[in-house]
Amino acid sequence: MAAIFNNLFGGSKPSASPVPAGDSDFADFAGAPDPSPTPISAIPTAASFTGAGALPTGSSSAVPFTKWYNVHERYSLSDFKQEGVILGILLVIIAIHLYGTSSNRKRAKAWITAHAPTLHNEFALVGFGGRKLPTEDEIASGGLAETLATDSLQLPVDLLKEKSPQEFSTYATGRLNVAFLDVNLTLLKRYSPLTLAFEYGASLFFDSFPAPVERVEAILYPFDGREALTVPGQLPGAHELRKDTKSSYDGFVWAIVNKETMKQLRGERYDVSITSTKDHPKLPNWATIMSESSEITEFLLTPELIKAVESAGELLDHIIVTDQPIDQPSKLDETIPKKRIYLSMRLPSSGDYTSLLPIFQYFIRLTDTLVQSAHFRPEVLRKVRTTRDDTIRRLQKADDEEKAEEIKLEREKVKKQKRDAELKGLNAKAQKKYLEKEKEKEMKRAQKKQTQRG
Amino acid sequence: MVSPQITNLVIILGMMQVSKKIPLEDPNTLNLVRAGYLLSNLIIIAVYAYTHLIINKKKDMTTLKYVEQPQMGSTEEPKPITTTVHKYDVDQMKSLYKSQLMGIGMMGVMHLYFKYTNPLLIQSIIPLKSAFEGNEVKIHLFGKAAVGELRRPFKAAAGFMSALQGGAAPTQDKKSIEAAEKAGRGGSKEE
Repeated sequence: MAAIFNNLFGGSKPSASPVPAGDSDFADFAGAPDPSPTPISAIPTAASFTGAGALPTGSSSAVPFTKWYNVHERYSLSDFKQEGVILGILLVIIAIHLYGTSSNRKRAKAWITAHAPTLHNEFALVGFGGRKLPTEDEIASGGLAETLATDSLQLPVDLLKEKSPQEFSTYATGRLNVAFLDVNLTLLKRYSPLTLAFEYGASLFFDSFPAPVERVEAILYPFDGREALTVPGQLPGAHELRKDTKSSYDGFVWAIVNKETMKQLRGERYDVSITSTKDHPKLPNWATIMSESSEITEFLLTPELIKAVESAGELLDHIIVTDQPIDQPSKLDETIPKKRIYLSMRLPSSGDYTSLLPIFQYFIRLTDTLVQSAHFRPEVLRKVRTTRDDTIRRLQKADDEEKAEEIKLEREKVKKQKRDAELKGLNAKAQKKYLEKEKEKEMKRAQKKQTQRG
Repeated sequence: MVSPQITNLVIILGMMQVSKKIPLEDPNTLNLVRAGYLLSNLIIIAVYAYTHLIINKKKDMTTLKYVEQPQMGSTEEPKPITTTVHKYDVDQMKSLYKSQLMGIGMMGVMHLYFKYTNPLLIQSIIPLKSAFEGNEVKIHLFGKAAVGELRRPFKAAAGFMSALQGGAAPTQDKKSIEAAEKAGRGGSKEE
């Protein structure tokens, strides 16, 4: 009975309850632990990271494969030698740059500290900070010098502007007879020793490369009787200026020049190249005078100036009173005189400017002397003027020639147009005749020329 | 006194014969000749450096004016030069250094690149000789007075090449200096 029963339902019975029945395959599969793919699979699964058996492929690489963030286990410092060297060089460069710029700033500051009192004494406005009236106790206690004397590296921004790490400039205005004063300090490129070395090397072999030097160049622009143009309208002080507009003086070129630089100077500057060089017995033997007239020299070479020049010593490059352009004029507009006074000095390496102060002061005050008495006899000025007139005449001539050339070209163009138009209107036979006639005319003209020449 | 050019020519011809006799294929001999060349250049440099030192010590700041004549065929006007004796001497020394370096450079190319060995001998004698015949060395090292031939500005040694170039000697007469000085040639822009 049971067997029948069993037979009857036998096929369905295992499917009805598979688990309790003894289907071993199925039961085994369910109970077995997850098969670990690590030994076979080359792709590391999450599980394989935990075990040390994560070296399926690699017996060749000795680098242990660790967690991604454990960089220190895979690399050591010795892997970064190149970067270390680069970083080291970078640090050296930065250090040199910082040292160079800061020492340049220090030098510039030392210069302005030495010269600011002089500038403040002479000018109403010094530097770029706008106009400030000094209070009386400030003057009394020398407050300016005090603020400058602090040891900080901070530049006195109001007084001195850093154009580049090697160039500093200052500006002053507000003085009788002087429109304004520009001062430029050029220092060595201490922050770039390679450039410096290259410049020195090049200066040894090529004359066109000057050896790098530290130098202060000041350009003073006198009013020269044009106050009304320079200080327009209702600016404070304009009225006072207009009252007394006799600040003009005669134009000429005169210079005291260090002999070491005189050859170069005469080549570079047009204004001094129209003068003649003459030594003066009162000057030290390293300096000479470039002048247009000996009378001007006698007037300008005061004992005070000689003393200042002697005190500055060979650091002085040149002091030039001029009314001519630096570049050779090539157009008529460029010959219009513009008066300026130049001062150029090399900076002492010691940073002690006391010996240079007298000449700087004299340079600023020179305009007063000029305005007061630089009005020469007509005989002296005639000589000075001839040189200028010659240049003007030469340029005028060149200008006229150019214009004549242009007109000539224009005329020829019109002529040709006319001829072309005429030729166009004719038929072939007439054209031929026209051309023949033209040829004949030309030949005749050529013959005439030849006979004339003969 | 025979002119240096003739003696140079004699030396060159003589040395050409001598160098035929010297076994330059032998590496030892070759090294000796090379050492001789280097030694001669060292002597020249030393002589120049010493002369330069004397010039700087003297520092003769006398003004020197002359007019440089343009080269034949050029349309340029004569150029006035105003300088000092010291500066002139220093410039002369600089050009001497330059020409010596040029000589060494040429020799270097000839010897190291083209493997010529013969010029080594001649080149260690002729420059040495002309170094001692140079005007600056004569004046400062041998203490000759700067008159006549040695008067500054020096005339270019009259030779075959200078005759071809035809550069006139710098003049120093007062009239031409004055005329050229006031001409206002400075500051012209180079084209």
